[in-house]
Amino acid sequence: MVSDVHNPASVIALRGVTRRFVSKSGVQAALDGVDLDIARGEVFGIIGPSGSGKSTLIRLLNRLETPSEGRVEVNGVDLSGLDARALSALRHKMGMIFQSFGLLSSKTALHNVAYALELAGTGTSGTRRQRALDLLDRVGLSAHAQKYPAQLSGGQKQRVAIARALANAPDILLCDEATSALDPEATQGILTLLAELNRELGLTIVLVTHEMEVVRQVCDRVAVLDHGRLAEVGTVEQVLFAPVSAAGRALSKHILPPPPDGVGEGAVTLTYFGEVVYSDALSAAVQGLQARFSVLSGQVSHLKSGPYGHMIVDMAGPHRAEALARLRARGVSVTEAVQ
Amino acid sequence: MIGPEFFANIDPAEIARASGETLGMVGASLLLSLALGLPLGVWLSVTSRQGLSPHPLLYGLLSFAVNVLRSIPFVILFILLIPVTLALVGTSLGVKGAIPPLVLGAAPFLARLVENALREVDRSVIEATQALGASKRQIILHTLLPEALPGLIAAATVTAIALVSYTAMAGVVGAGGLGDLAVRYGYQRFQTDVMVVTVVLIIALVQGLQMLGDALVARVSKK
Ligand SMILES: Nc1ncnc2c1ncn2[C@@H]1O[C@H](COP(=O)(O)OP(=O)(O)OP(=O)(O)O)[C@@H](O)[C@H]1O
Ligand SMILES: [Mg+2]
Repeated sequence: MVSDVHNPASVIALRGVTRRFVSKSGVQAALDGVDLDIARGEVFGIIGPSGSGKSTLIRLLNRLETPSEGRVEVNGVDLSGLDARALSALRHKMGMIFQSFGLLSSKTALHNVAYALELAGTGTSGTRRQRALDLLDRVGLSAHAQKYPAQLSGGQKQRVAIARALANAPDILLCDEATSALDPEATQGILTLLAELNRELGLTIVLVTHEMEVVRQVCDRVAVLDHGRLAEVGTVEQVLFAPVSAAGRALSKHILPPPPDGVGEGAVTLTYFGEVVYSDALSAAVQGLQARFSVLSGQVSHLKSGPYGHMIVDMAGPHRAEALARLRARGVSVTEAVQ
Repeated sequence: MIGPEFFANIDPAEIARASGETLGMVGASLLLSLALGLPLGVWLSVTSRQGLSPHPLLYGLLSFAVNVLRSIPFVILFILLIPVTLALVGTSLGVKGAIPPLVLGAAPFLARLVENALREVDRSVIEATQALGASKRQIILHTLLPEALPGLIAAATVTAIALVSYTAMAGVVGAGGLGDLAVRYGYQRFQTDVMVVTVVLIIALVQGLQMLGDALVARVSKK
């Protein structure tokens, strides 16, 4: 299993962050003692059920929200110490996109993007226009530059929002449920675009979602939130295939179905990554042995880090142990399905 | 049947003069109400609980002042203000004397409508603008006001129409205009024809303002 590479030079660091809200029903901690490090250039997921504190967490990163306790640092700078001017400068270098897009309905797509440059006071109206056109071209919307948000589909609106978020060449992009309002096809388009931006620009992306599928497709690492607490943090492989928290296990079940009913004593769960996926590991494992297998459930798909296979296989016969040893020797993780 | 003799008392020059006075009063007081009510409405919106800079005490005071002015019937406000009007414009009569009470009656009304129009601006748009590093001033001038423009025009239209009815009332207490004509000739001298013509003109004015406002809203609305 890939280990959790902790980068000491983290771009974002949270230390003992608690955020309490006072409401009629009393004081409630939306976040409770969260420590987190996000490394430069990674796509970092924040996942958890509704109300677990995901939005509160991501909004702390550009100080749309402030902690009740603890510290939030971006590029080594404690955000609580920033004055209005420094905060604006920080936000220019940190793009953010939202579930509901947040585009100005009174401005065209082009003007929405140019507006971000205008707010930052960069360029002349001519250069801003050109840069906005280039950005719209980058997100595949050059044909729609003169349209108003009301004339665009959800996926197109989110692309305009991405172009706007990138206008001032930020090195961090925050996404709060950026695909939650979109249909599956538009969701794929946006996720692909985010992955490209991460790869091509080295953009650090922090992505809040309640869907493990989104994490599976684009994230390097993921933090699982549960009632405002950090249930676990790890690589997507870890959280998906070896979750250590109850919340993590519940989420991984959305991607990896539990063993079918009536799975027998001899069933094993096989998990493998990379080249093995395309190899003959399974058939080679039983070759020449008194062992046979049948696949009870299985899935082969991709993580950001590469392909994976995940299967529940009924392995039987006198040489069962030998066959499983061969699989392990090929780098397949083998665990008994019935524990 | 109503024949030409029904309109025997109509003096076109007099009607034209009164119409001009009404238009002048509505126009001038609308402009001044906008100049006062728009900033006041922005102030209300900004200091409100969900606003950009919540300030419960200031909001409470402003809101109370607005409510007080709005709850005084216009005719009474007009009379109450006579000393102030005299001090401001030197007379409490005629078009000039009507402007201060008209503005003081309409500006708080408009301010409340402006506050509501600004409240209608999508929260996510304001948040996205904040995330882009906009200052409060930039958010108000370049996000809130442009986004609320259709609502603001609708608010100005409602205010203009309210001003038409205020001017008619002001006419009763000496301000001139169509209201004055209706009362002096139509009511006190039983010249029904004058009454009918002035009422028709006032209806036409209200209708025209509404149509103009609706057309402008349709033109600027991109939703
Ligand atoms: N401004 C606020 N005032 C009071 N309570 C709040 C506020 N913002 C968030 N909360 C509370 O904090 C908790 C966490 O909210 P948050 O929006 O961070 O959750 P979330 O994980 O983003 O949920 P969702 O998936 O529904 O978006 C919730 O119980 C919410 O009611
Ligand atoms: Mg949320």
